Amino acid sequence: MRHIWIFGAIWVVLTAIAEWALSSYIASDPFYSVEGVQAHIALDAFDFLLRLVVPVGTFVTVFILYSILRFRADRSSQQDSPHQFRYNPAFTWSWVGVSIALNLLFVIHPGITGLQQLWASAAHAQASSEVDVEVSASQWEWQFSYPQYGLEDVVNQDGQDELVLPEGKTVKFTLESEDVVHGFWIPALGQKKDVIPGMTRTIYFTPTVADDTSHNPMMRVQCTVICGAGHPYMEADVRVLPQAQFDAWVQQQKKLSASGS
Amino acid sequence: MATEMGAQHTGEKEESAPQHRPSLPPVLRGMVWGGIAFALLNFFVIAIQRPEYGALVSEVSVSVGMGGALIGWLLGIGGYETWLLPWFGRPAAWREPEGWQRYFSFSTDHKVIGIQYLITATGTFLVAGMVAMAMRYNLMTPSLNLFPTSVAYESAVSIHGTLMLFAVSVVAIVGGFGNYFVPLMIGAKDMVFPRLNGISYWLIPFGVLTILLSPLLGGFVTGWTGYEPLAARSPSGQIFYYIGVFTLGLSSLLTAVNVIATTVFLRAPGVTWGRLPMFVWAMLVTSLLNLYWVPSIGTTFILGLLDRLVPTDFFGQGGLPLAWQSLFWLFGHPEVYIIMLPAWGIWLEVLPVFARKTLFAQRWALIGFIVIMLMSNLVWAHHMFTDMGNAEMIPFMLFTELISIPTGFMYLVALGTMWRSRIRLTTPMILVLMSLFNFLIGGLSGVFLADGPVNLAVHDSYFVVAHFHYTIIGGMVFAWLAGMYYWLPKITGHAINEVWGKINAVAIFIGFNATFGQMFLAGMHGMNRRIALYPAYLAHQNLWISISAFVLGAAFASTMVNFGIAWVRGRQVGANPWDAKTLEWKTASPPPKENFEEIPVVTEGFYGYGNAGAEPEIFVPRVAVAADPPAPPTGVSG
Amino acid sequence: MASARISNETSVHAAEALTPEQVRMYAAGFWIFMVSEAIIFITLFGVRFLLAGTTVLPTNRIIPIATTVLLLASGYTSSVSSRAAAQGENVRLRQYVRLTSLLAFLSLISVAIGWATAGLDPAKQYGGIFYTIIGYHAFHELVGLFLFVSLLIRTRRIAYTPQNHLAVQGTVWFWEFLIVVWILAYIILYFI
Repeated sequence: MRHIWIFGAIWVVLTAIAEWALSSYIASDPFYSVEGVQAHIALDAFDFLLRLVVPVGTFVTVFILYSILRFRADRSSQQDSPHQFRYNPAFTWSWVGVSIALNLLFVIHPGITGLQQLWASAAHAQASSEVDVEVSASQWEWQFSYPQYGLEDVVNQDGQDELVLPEGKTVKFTLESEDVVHGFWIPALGQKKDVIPGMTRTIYFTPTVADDTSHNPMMRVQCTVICGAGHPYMEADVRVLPQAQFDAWVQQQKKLSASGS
Repeated sequence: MATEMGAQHTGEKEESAPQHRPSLPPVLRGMVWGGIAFALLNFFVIAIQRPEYGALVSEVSVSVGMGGALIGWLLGIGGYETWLLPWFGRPAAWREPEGWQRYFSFSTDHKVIGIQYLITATGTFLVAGMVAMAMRYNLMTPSLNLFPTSVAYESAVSIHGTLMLFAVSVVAIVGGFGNYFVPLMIGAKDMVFPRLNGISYWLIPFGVLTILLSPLLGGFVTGWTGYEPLAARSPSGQIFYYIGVFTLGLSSLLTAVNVIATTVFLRAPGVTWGRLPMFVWAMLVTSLLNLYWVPSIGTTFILGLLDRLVPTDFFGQGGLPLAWQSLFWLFGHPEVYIIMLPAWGIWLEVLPVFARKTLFAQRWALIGFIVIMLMSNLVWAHHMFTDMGNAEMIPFMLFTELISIPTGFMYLVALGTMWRSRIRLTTPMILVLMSLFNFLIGGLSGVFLADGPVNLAVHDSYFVVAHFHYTIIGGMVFAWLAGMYYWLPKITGHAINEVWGKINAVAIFIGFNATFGQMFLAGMHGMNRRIALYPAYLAHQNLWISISAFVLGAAFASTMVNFGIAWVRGRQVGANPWDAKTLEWKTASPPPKENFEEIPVVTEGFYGYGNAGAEPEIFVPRVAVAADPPAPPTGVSG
Repeated sequence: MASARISNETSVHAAEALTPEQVRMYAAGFWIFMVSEAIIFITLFGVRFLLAGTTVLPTNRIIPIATTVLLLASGYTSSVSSRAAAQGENVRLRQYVRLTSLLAFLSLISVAIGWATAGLDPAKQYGGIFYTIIGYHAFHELVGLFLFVSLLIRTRRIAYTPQNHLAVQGTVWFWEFLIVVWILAYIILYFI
C-alpha cells in the first residue's frame, strides 16, 4: 500500500508541475497567436485535450520511473520477485473504465462540440453571405477571385497572387483544383481543406486580426498536399484589412481590372 | 516413418543428376538471369511498341521487363533447382551452401532466412536513414542546398518513406524475428512451407533495389502514399514504386501464410493456445492482418500502375482521386498495427524476463491484440479528415478514439508486470521502457490528431510527421533494437557489450526525442510536410531539428558497430543468458540445425515466475493435444 | 519406394508419403493462401461498384457465354481428375488433366476473343474496370493452365497415391476457385 501512496503523491505533484510548465510554455508559443474564429475553436480543443492528456502521460511515465527506481533488483540477485500476481481487478477495471470514459469524452468534447462550432461559424456565413472567394489551385499557383466584386485572379503590385480578406467577416472559400490534389491551408487561421480535382469544396474562415504575411508568416496560404516539383513554392501572401481598407482595396482592384482590360 | 523418408531421400539422390553447384554464385546468377529476362522482355515490348524518338525503354516495357526480371532473379537465386525442377517432377538438385555463403543463396532453414531478413532490413534501414540524413541536411537552411531540385528532394522523401514503411518496419520484426523465433518458440523444427519461406525472403532485395533504382527513371514525387492523380503525372520512377511495393507486399503475404500455418499446426506437445507466447500471438495476429490487407493494397497498386500504363482512368480526373486515398488507407491504417503488434509482442516477451515477474493480466493483452485486429480497418478515414464533410468525420473520430482503448491494454499489462517486480535494467529492458515512453507520446499525440478541429489545424504538417515517427521509430524501432539485444545472443551465441549498449540506447533516446519532439512544435508553427524549402522564420527550429537528427543518426550507426563487434568477437554465452522461460532458450545458442535435440514437451505456461502457479489464465479453450507430435515438414512435397 | 512403369522412357515413382496430419497442414496452408486470392477479387469487385456504380455498357455478349460453358466443363473434368488421383488411378488422371488443360486453353482463347471484341474504352470507368477484372482473371487462368500442364508433365515421373495427391487437389481447387470467381465476375460485369 505504501508504494501506491508514494506513487500517487509523486504523480499528482508531477502532473501539476507539468500542467503549469506546459501552459506557461505554450502561452508564449506562436501557435497560440491564432488570428481567426476557427483557429480558436481548434486551439480550445487542443488546450482541453492537453489538460486531460498530461495526467495520462505523467501516470505512465512516473510509473515507469518509479518502477525502475524502487523495484530495481540488486546486480547480483537473480531471484524472482516475491510479489507474484497475475491480476488485480481494481487496477484493471479502473484502467479500462477510465480509458473508455476519457475516449468517449474526447469524441463528444472537444470532438463533436468542436465540429459543431465549426459548422455554426459556417452557417453564419451562409446566412449572411458576407464575402465569397473562389480559389483555384493548379500546379503550382493559387488564384483568388471575388465574384461578388467581379474581380478575377487578383494580384498585388508585384504581380503575385494575393489573398485579401476583411477583418471580422466570415469568408466563404470555394475551392477547385485544375490538376492534382492540393491542400488549402492558412496556418494562422487554423484550418485546412484538401482541394480535389473534379470536386468543389468549401471552407470558412473568420479572421479576427488585421495582419499580413510580412508581419506574421503564419498568415499565408500554403499548399499542404504534395503536388509535385513546385509544392514548396505553392504559397500566397495574405492580407487581412479592416473593413474600410478592404473596401478601398476592392475599388482599387476594380479600377485596375477595368484599365487592364 | 522417419526411416522411410530417409530411404526415399537417398533413393532420390541416387537417380538424380549429380548435384553440382551452379556455375555462378546464386546471387550473381540471379542478377544475370534477371538482367537477361529484363533485357529480352524490354526489347520485345519496345519492338512491338516502337516508341517515338527511338527510345530504348518505355514505361510499359520496363514494367513487363521488371516482371521478367523478378522471375529470372528468383529462379537464378535457387528457385530453378528448388521450385522449377521439382515442379516438373524432377528431383530437387539443390545443395545449400555451408558457412557464410548460405546467407547469400536460397535457403529453406528458417534461421538462415530470419538472419537474411534481419540483415536486409537493417541495411535498408541504414540506407533509408542516410536518405533522411540528406533530407535533414538540406533542411538546415530554408533554401535548397544539398538537393539540386525540389523534385530530387521529394524523390528522397518518397524513397525514405516507402523503404522505411514497406521494407523495414513491416519486415524487420515479422520477417526477421518472426521467421527465426516463431518455430523456436512453439517447439517446431521449421516452418510449414520452408521453400515458400526461401522465396519470400528473396523478394525483399528485389523490392528494395527496385525502389532504390527509381531515380534512374526520374524518381517519384508522391511520397510513400502515392496519391492520385499526382502519381499519374509524376516522373516515370513512379512505376518502380508500384512494382517495388507490390513485390515487398508479396513477400509479406507469403510470410503471413507460413506463420499462420506454422502456428496452427506445428506447436510442440503442450504448447496449447492458452500457453502460446505473446510474441507468437502478436505474429499470428499480424499475419492475419497481412493476409487480409496486403492483397488489397497489391491490387490497388496494380490499378495505379494501369492508370499510368494503359492508361485507364481509375483515379484520375475522370475517376475518383479519393478512391485511391480510401483504398490506400484501408490498407495503410491496418499497416500501422502490422508494424506495432510485433513490437508489442517484444514488449511482452522482454518485460517479464527482466522484471522477474509473471505477466500481468495476460488475457487483456490478447483481447487487445484481437480487438485491434478487428477494428484496424474501421479507422482509415482519419487520414482523410481534410477531404470529407464534417459529419463524415464523426464515426471515424469515434473509432479512432476507441481503438486507443485496446492499445492501452498493452500499457495495462506492461505496467502491471513492472509493479513490485525485481527489475534488471539490461539494455533490452531499457529499450523496451524507452519504447513504452515513446509510443506513449505517439499515442497521446494521436488523441489530438483524432480530434476533428485539431486535425484540420495540424494535419499534413510536421505535427503529423512527429506523431508517426514517434509511433514507428519510437515504438517499433526501439522494440526492434530491444529484440536485437535480447535475442542476438541466441542467434549468434555471443553476448553484446552491455555498457556500450546502454550508452547507445540513451544516445538514441535523446537524439530521437530531441528530433521529433521539436517537430511537434515545428508543425504547430506552420511547417508543412514534404517540402524542400520553407519560410525563413522556421530556419532556427529546423537547424536544431537537423542537428538532433544527426545525433540520432550517429547513435544508430554506433549501435550497428556494437552489434557487429558482438557478432564477430562477443563473449560466448550459454543457452539461456537472460534466464528466460520461453522455448527458444531451451536449446543451444545458436540453435542447432533442427532447433531442438528432441521436440520439447511443455507442461506449464511460459510466464510463471516465482512460486505463482505456472498456468496462464487466458480463457481460450484448450485444444486437445495430439498424442504424436506433428511430423516435421519436409523440404519437397509432391 | 513404389515404382512402376507406364511409358518406356521414364520411370515413375510414387509421390512422397505424407501423414494425414501433414496433408491437413499443407491443405490448410493452401486455403490460407487462397484467402488472399479471394481478397484480390473482392477488392476488384468493390472498385467496380465504387468507380462505375452498376453501369453496364453494351459489349460482346455471346463470347462470355462460351467462356462460361467451357469453364464449367473444365471444372467438371478437373474434379474427375482429382477423384482419379484420390483413387490412385494415374492413367485416368492424366487423361482428365489433359482434357482439362485443353478446355482451359480454349476458355482462354475465348476470353482473348471476348477481350478483343469488347470494344470498350479503357479510359472510361466501366471499360477500365472491365478489362482489369477480365485481365486479372485471365492472368490467373494462365497460371491455372500452367499448373495443369506442369501437372501433366509431373505425372510422367510421379504417381499420385490416395495418401498424397495434394498437388492435384491444390491445382483443382485453384481452378474451381477461378470458375467461381468467373461466374461472379460474369454476373457483376455483364448484368449488374
